[in-house]
Amino acid sequence: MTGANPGRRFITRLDGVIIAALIACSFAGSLVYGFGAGRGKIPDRLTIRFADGNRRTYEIRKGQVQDIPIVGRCGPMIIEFDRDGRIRIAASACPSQNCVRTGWVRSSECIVCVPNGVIVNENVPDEAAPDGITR
Amino acid sequence: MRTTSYGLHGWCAGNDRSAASSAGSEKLRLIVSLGILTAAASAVQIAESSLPRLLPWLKPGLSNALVLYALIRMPPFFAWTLVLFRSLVTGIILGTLFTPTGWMSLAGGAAAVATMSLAAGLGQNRIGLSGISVTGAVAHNIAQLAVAGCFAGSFIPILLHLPIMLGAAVPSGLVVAALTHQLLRRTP
Repeated sequence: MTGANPGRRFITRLDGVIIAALIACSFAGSLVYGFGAGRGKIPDRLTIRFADGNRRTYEIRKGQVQDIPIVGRCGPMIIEFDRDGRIRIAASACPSQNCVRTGWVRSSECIVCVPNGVIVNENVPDEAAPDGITR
Repeated sequence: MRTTSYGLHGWCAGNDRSAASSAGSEKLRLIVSLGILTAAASAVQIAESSLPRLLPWLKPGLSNALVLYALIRMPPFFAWTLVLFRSLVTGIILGTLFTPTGWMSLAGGAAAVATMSLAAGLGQNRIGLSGISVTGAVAHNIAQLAVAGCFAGSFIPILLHLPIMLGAAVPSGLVVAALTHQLLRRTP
């Protein structure tokens, strides 16, 4: 598979080793931090960290829908907490809206909105992973 | 008169090719090639930004195929210039210039070029297009996470994202490598 560039092959043995190592690292990392971790646990508090280093902690009322309005670097955001213990960014003034499109995540996970400089649920448990980083 | 050069003659119209050849200017040829590749890479990146995605923040980064092409076929500085111009053009058109998204794009591109240059330097028989592309994708993702950490003000939640990003680098790197392979095969 060389075509007009006979010197550079499409794949070599070293490529296979690199790819296998990456898949193994990704899988191991996902096992430790990701899939299934924190499932079923609903924390008592939700910590939101702002780009200037300030943190705010909100009490979570289990079994109730909660809207938490905050103001980030780009403008206002609304964080929603539902009865099943999930969180999402319901509205945001950031230009990309990727944080809104991320949708619902488990309450043991976090969402980072880079343009707004906001980390929702910063104090994720050790075994939990962030669900989305939005640009 | 040179008849072979940096591989983009097949893309140019006949008049452009003859004009560049008659001028006999390698510099002119490089500038034309840079313009074509910048336009193509920017167009691909802009088109990609509006396509539906598996995850909102995950893109395959198909424009990196043109960067890898430049890295293999062009002089060493060319791919760096291409990444810089691509970031500028897409930043202006998408409105992300000097925003966190724009800096993430530039940092990711620069890290990918640096890593792919090092990987390509290992030798043609040791590492193929797939290895170069996948290592570039990994560097791209790590650099983007680092810049995201700077803007978000905290690195730990961001770095917890690394396993997903490492996994995502493999398919995107392989797709980019396959595209580059076709580009190299189809252009003189």
